[in-house]
Amino acid sequence: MKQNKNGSVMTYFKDLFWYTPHKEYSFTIPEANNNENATYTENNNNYESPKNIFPKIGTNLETITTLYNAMINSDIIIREFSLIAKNKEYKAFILYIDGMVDTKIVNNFVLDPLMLRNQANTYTNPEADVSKEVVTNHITVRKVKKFDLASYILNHLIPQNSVKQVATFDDVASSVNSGNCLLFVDTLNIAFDIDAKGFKQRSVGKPENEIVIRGSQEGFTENIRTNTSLLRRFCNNEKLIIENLEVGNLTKTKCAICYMKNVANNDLIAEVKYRINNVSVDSIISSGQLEQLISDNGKFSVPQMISTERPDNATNFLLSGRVVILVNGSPYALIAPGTFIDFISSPEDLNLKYKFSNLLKLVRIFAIILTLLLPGFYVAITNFHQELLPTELLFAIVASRENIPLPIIFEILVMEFSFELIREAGIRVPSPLGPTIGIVGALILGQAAVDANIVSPILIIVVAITAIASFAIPDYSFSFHFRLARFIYIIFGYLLGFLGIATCLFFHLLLLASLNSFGYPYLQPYVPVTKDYNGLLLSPAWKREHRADFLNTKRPKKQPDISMKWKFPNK
Amino acid sequence: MNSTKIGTFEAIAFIVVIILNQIVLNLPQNLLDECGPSTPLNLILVIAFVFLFLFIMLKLWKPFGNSDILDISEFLGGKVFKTIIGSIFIIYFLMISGTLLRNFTEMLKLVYLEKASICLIVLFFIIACAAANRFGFRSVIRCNLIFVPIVLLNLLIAFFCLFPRFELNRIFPIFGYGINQTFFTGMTNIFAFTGISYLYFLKPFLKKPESFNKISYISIGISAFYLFLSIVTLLFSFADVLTVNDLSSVYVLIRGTDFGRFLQRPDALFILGWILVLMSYISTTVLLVNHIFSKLAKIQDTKPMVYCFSTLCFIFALIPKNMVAIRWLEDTLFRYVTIILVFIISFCILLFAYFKHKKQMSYVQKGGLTSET
Repeated sequence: MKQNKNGSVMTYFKDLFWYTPHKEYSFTIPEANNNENATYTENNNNYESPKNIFPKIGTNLETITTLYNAMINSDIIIREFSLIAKNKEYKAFILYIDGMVDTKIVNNFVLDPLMLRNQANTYTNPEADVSKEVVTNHITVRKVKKFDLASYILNHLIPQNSVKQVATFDDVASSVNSGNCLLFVDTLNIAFDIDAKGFKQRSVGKPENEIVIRGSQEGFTENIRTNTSLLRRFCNNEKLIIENLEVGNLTKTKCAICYMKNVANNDLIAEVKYRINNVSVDSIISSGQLEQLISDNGKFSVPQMISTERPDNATNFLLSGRVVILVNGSPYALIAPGTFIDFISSPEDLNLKYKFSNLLKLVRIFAIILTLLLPGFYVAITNFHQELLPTELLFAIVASRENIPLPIIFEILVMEFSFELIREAGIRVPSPLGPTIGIVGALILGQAAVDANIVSPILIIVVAITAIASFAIPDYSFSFHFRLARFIYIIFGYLLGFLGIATCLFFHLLLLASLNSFGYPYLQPYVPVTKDYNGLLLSPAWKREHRADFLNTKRPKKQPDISMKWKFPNK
Repeated sequence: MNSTKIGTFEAIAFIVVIILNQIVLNLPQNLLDECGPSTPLNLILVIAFVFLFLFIMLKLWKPFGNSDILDISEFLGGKVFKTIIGSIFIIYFLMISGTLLRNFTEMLKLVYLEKASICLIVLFFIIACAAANRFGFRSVIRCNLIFVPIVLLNLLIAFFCLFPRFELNRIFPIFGYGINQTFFTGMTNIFAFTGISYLYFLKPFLKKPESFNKISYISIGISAFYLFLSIVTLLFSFADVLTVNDLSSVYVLIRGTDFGRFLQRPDALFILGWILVLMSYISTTVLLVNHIFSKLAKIQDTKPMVYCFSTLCFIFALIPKNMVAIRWLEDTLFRYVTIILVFIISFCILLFAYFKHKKQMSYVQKGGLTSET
């Protein structure tokens, strides 16, 4: 104590008479100019990069070094060398990103044929260069072809299947960023874009979130080319068009728009292209981001485009006249348009007999109703419409709530919120701990809450049924929408009983009815009613003659009236 | 795709929604009060008359193509006449929907929300209606198409479940309050088919105007079927013609019905459907009123007017002092106003316009002949 006192006195005197430098490390970001009128600029630095490639290699090298910050970027590789063509040497360099190209390809099929002396680059035949020869008065006049270095390199020196010539630095950057190797040669104002991709990527694996029993077990990967090849394999038709577009001012993410040329509606294709071409953002990393930018109504939580990780499912949609959008780096394909009925369907439906599929679809609709309405109904019935319940059940509910001090709205909101918490925690924690969180959360906490008289056992049943029902909805975003909406139903059910629920339902359906997906009403084929029945319930496989009428496809029929010709050979 | 054009199913739902609301409220009871046990007989006659009326109406309409009653009025009597007719229809639609709304909210208050103010409950519906109209024409019409089949099924189930309580003896005396009452004065029951007034404005909305006749017959047919079913159910289920002061007779019927051991009293579930269809009806009416007004005033953007007409509907709903006043309005005032406006004035407009058109055509033909000769 004495020491402390002395210590504090000493410190006081030290502070008073001695200077002690401030030792604590602190760092603050200088305040930015809060210019409210600041507008978005695509290029913030003052340096204006040149657009076209120069014929002088030194200038190109400087430009590339500046463009890629090659002095500080460790993975940008610029290899300078002398290229031999027709026994002449030219200065050249190649540019690539380490880790994105296959070095074996670069060494064996780019550098080797260009640098080493071999028959191809040293061979000169003056006679071959003569295009015209005229002999006049014993004097031979020969017209010699102008040596075209670019085509010589392209035709003789790069033994590669995919080589393009690019003329602008934008194209150079786009190709290098996607894993290609670029060759610059002195005197040429073009560069050679050589496909030498060789980065590590996930192989085609099982779909994780759309599991089926009888369908294909292949899922999309992060690589757009792998995904397009999967579509090609499933579709197996030359009418499948895969158009490439780039989205994102900075990332220039590759997107592929896939459609069947002889099936999909031209207006739909044009609309999809128009929307994607007119997305102006700095970056697109996943299909989810693109979905939000091209959907008709971004404010409403219901998904308006189908998202699938299954190539077989995407192909089915392609063949039905929809447009599939693939985004490089995302293992999910987007499908436009998406209607309400599509989100109730599962990829398994087409693999099963129609009776099973239809039963499952009805189960899913029941699941939607339960997810959306059950908690709200419980609150409304217990508060306003007790007469709906049989007397015995009413007594049971009253008895179970006898010792609960909390009002029912609080009780149910706490339980629903707790369940969402458990679900979120279950997804975020490392996978071995996921089931443990579920068991601890759902079983132990639920039981403890009942024992502690915080919630009634019947409420636990209601919340559990709601949760299970929400898992039965095939589409994750669609299920999320109903999970979110049920809170509004609970609050209105508590305030006004069935009047509140009816109002919510009215608005909910009004919103759904007002929605369009790429110009197609969201509730079609039922609202508005379309001519050909092609909706919720599947007809037998031999009776699925028509494509959905509302899609206005170029081929309305997908099979003849008699598809099982083995059975009716004379028809 | 034109956003203000509707298909055949949507158009049918547009008309049927009116009769559904009236059945849910006290229309069957009002008809029974008029003729007693002979109401089914009277209704058959009324339905036959309505179909005859419809047949003539559609024949008279033929020369006018896609025009509605406003265009025909303008053709007949100029812009002033069109404005008068349009204004009368606006007031008529708002008054009927306002009174229906008030009637329903009174029932709702009595059954579930005894502590809530009637003004607040009405306001709740009005807000829903205004918001629905802000969403636009397409949403309201599509929403209507969803709710109408649900409530059609809802009522069908209710009537079917009441079947075991039927006693056919209750139809006697078969001529009820007398032949005069059944076949002559009882003909005022024609007012039940208010839906025809909506038909007068429907044609310009249709995607396929050529299906107007089909739509008219089907929608009035469905309305007639449900009205007849409700009358028969009400008559055969109750020992005497029921006079319940504040509750809808169909509701009283359903409440008194046993639906099995588990669902002892599912009347609240029926009310849930009725609320939906009432909201849809009010929204549709305001939509129509807005359309009429836009046609009269030639306003391009009518969305802000939605609030104005919703408020007017709210005011009309609050005008009646009590249930007695509502009953008087529904049973007496609207009965005769409907007959005069829908079945007499509008018919006369059609008839005179038809003759005027015919005269003009014959004049043109004569002129044509003269010029040719």
